[in-house]
Amino acid sequence: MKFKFFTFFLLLIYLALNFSSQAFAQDQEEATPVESPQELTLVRAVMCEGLRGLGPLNEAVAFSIEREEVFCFLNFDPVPEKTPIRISWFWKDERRRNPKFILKPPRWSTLDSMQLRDADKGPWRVEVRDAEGNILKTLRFSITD
Amino acid sequence: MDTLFTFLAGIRCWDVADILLISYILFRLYALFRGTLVFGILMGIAVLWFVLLPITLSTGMVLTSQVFQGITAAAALIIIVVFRTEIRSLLLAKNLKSFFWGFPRMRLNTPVEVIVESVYELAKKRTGALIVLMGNEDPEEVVHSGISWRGQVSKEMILSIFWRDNPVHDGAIIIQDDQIRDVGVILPLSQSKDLPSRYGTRHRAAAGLAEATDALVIVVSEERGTVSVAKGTEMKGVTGRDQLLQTVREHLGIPENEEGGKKRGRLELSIAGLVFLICVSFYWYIIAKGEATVKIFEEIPVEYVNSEPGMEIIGSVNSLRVELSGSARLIRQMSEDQVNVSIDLDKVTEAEKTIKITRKNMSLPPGVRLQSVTPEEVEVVLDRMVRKVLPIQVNWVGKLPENLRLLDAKVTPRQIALTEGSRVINEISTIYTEKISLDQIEKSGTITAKLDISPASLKMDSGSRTTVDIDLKVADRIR
Repeated sequence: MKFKFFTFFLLLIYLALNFSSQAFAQDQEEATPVESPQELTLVRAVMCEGLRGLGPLNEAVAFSIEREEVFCFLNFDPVPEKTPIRISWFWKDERRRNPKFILKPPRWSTLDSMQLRDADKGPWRVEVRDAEGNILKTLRFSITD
Repeated sequence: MDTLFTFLAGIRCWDVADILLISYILFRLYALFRGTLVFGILMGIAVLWFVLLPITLSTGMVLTSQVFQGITAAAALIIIVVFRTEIRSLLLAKNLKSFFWGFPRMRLNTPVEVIVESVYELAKKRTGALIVLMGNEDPEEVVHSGISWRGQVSKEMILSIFWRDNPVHDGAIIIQDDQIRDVGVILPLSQSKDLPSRYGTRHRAAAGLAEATDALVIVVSEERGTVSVAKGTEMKGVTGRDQLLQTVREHLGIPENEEGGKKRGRLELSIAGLVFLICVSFYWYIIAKGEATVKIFEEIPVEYVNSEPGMEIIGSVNSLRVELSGSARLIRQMSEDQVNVSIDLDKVTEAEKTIKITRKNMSLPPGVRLQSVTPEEVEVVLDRMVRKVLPIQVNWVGKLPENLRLLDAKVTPRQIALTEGSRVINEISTIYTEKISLDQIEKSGTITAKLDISPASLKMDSGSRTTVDIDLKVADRIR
């Protein structure tokens, strides 16, 4: 009787240990794929003439006023959590627009645009800032004839 | 009366010091050079400058005034060259006290009675002699030869020098103080045609030296045994010992009554001092106070000094309108270069400070007063210089062909370091190139463009490029 009890007890301990190690291995396997940083990453930022499909159309650094509109395309991947960003538009050093956008996880693309007028000719820059005001990217372009 | 009180109240202690100093300098010149040719010439030049020249100028005698001006201009050089010996002996004074305070003492030590006795002994023996008693001028410039003797004056010595068989009996002796300084001295001959024919070479030599210096020369005639004295342009016979004694004493400045002589000397110097004081005061009044005139300078530059290192003045007044007054003579001769305005920024720490302009900020010629200054206050704006690295962006103009787009334009260098006051540079985020036209661009390539650095006050680091290379990429436009 004692022998059987002792054997049963050992077996129980063995199984218990076995399951826990397997569970640990699974946890490891599940945790390993999460190597990408847990922070907002801007993977693409361009000035363009519009959208084609899900991507920018005719990205460039100079746009004719005849286009009537210019776009700023941004792609964030990943987006760890819901977070705001600001897209500031500067004509020379004068800020003209400063809209706010909300990004949602896991990834997000944004398209901001501006109507063009004759008085908008000249050098521009767009600054993309995160929630803390850090500049993530500066895009420089010109509006021409 | 009120005018007098106002005038007296306006005299500063520096004006009094000014007058006293010049009066004392003139007095010292008189005390040191009185009785000499130097003083005579100085007086002549003073009369020329202060009396004759103003008269010729005021009466419009152009030629005469030009000549007088030329003479006085050259006078200083002439005096130094001609009277270099006297000036040298003065500057080699034994101590500063005698230079600034002492009075040249006449030769009270000279044994006058011994000399007179010797002269008459020589005359009695019909022994020719030439005895030179020096004045204030040293005759070494005009005499020749001579043997340094430096012996004590005594009757025996004088008699032995002029003894016929003595090798040095032929020349003159020069007596200085109580010493026979030189013997066998050859004197210059007078060229005067006024000398009586009875006078021989010995008398001509005496006359020659007397004309050239302020010495007294005693001549003993070998032929007649008579005694004559030569001084200046005069040659006269001496009738007796007393007359010779008196003549020699007068020449040496030895009064018969020593105490009375001293009193006369002191009185003479006191009167001279007073006269100089009055003349200098009068002249000062003419220069400093006479006929006040106003002159206006419209743009006197302002100099800012002692600003803190690293700070720059970016806003202030650069010139002032200044109104000055003074005597007509001073003001007429004034030019803008003589007026300096400076503002000390040593204790200025604020970025903006208002500073009041006062007389202390100005450097003016003596005797000129500040009437007014416009503006009365100056606002100084200081800024700290900051170096900032700024990105460069291309300034595109024009238009690409419809089927093309400018995909990218990489600028090299991408940034530039500039320095300017913090107020200005903190407002600048980007430096642009000159406008570059897209009209002629058809394909990718590299172009060079100049930077448009604005405002112009921005300073680049030394060695920085003023141009950038632009590597542009052209692509087809997707329709």
